[in-house]
Amino acid sequence: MTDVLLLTLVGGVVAVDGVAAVQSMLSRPLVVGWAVGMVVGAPMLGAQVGILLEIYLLVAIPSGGGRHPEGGTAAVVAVVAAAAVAPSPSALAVGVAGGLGWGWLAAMSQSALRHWNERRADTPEHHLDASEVARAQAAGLGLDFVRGAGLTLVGVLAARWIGPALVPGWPVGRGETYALMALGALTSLGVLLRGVAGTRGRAVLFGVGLTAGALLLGGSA
Amino acid sequence: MTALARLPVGVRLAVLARSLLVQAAWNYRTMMGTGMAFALVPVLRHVHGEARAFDDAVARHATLFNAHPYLASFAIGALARLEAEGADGDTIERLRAALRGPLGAMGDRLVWAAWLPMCALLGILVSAAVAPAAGVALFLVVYNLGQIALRAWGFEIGWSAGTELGRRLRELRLTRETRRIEAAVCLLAGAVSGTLLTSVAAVSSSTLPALAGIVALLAGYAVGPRAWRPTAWIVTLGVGAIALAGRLLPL
Amino acid sequence: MSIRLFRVDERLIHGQVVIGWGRRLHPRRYLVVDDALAGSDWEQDLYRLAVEDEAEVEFLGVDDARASLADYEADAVPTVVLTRDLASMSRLSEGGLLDGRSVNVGGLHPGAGRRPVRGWLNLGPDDASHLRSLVAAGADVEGRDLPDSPVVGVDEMLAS
Repeated sequence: MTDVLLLTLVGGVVAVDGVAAVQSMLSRPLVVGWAVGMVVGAPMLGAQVGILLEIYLLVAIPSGGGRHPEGGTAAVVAVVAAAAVAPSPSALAVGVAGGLGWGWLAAMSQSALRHWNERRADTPEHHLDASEVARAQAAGLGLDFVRGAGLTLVGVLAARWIGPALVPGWPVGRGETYALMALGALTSLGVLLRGVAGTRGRAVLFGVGLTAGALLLGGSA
Repeated sequence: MTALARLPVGVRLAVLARSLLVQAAWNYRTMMGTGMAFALVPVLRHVHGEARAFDDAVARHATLFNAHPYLASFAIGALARLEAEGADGDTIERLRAALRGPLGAMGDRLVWAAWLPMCALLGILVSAAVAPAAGVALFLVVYNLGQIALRAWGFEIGWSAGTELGRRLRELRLTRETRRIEAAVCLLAGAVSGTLLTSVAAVSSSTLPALAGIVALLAGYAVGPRAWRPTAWIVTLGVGAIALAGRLLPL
Repeated sequence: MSIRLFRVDERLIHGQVVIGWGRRLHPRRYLVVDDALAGSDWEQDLYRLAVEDEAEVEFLGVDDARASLADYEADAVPTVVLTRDLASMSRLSEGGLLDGRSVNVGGLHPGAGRRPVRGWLNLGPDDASHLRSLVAAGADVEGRDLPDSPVVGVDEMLAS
């Protein structure tokens, strides 16, 4: 019960950090995955879910108007879903997929909030004064926190059910399951590289990194 | 002008702190307009003694504005300078209009497409190679040193340049810095790809998954940003379908 | 036909134009036609930043643009022509200079006294007459924010 309360608060904080305040990236899946893993007593699994979601969402940029899965609340839900069963590649897969799906719902709620914020914004007929500006800021922040917390609460309760409901009958082998998740992540890395690579020098750097990663770190992820 | 250049430290710090909330009331009509007015309030109070002038200034900054949230500090500095110099409303509106496009485009490229991926990939590698806590800590510290420096520096550059911000930004060659960070992203993305490919090969008995991984990487590169959304959906729905099949079908 | 697009957009060079239209039309030059901007170096510097290494940006007053439009059309550099308002585009079209050309109306924000047609398309009191003179000068006027968006016809802009 204290877990649920704590995770709900975490959901509110990471929702606000995502766009509305600071954007310190406390809300990135890499951070949230690890932290929530600590809370639910599965630090390694939490870190793994966080890393996979982070790679998936690296190319979904958190710009003001963009509509992408909200990484912070998604990562809370993802780790809770994965940690609701014994650690396995299928738990990882169900967690990451559940998180991504929840992230889309979260994105829809962000969109609704941005429409709601229009009510307190400037119009050609009514310009804001300093106290209206301060109230609009406070309302935007407060509602974003409530939105993130509420969404996370529902998501966490659902995740505790989704994990045990979907993982036990998982019909695909360990290696194949892991490969499926890695394929998505590698596609995402390809998309990321499309934006930054393109010259011969960059291709060489990529090759150096690829070789180093394969030789030095292979198998540790 | 010399008196103007000395904006009290308290005002600067208040603006920096408020600039962290520049997207707090983000909406589809005025985007970060409300947040811009909120960030500028300490400066506007400082330079406009008279209530009417202060209200007018708040109102004009609360209208439509958009930029990258960190690079908005360049705009906040330059607009603060114009207000302090007593520039007319038309000039201020023209500066706001001209800043809307470039600060968004430059920030997307510098921060969202380069700085964030670089820091995150570094954090992922350290998480995998050392310990998750170390990776997370490194990610947050490095990323936020850059973020806070960019915001504080942006305000100072904007404040010292005023309407000359365009020329100053070109001289600063942010694009060149962006390119350096992009090069680091290539190296680190390579390392993460290599790690993923070898660990896929390690848990599988055949070479097929690793080959499929290389194809996925190339496909993402070839198709570009349009590939991302379908990939996320395929993974989400694919995992759901597999799990349901395992539940409902006698396999 | 070096000029790939004539567009009216208050924001001039920004994401929708550079990415939305730019990735489709691959312009190497943006020609901004605006009397106020043609004489303002500091504003030009800012607008240029949005396309720093991808394309050149030139600024001309309406009369200068009218005089040299044929030259821009004749050289080989793919070009997008932008104005901030319908008034400038309508002046550019006088005497049939845009006869048979498509003119895209892409971004006019809400403002006092402006009538919304779409969220991104709001017309001021004089805009109807500018639209009519564009049509009378032979231009094919369409409202569209992005290349794949549905078209708002000139009849709908003039109605209501």
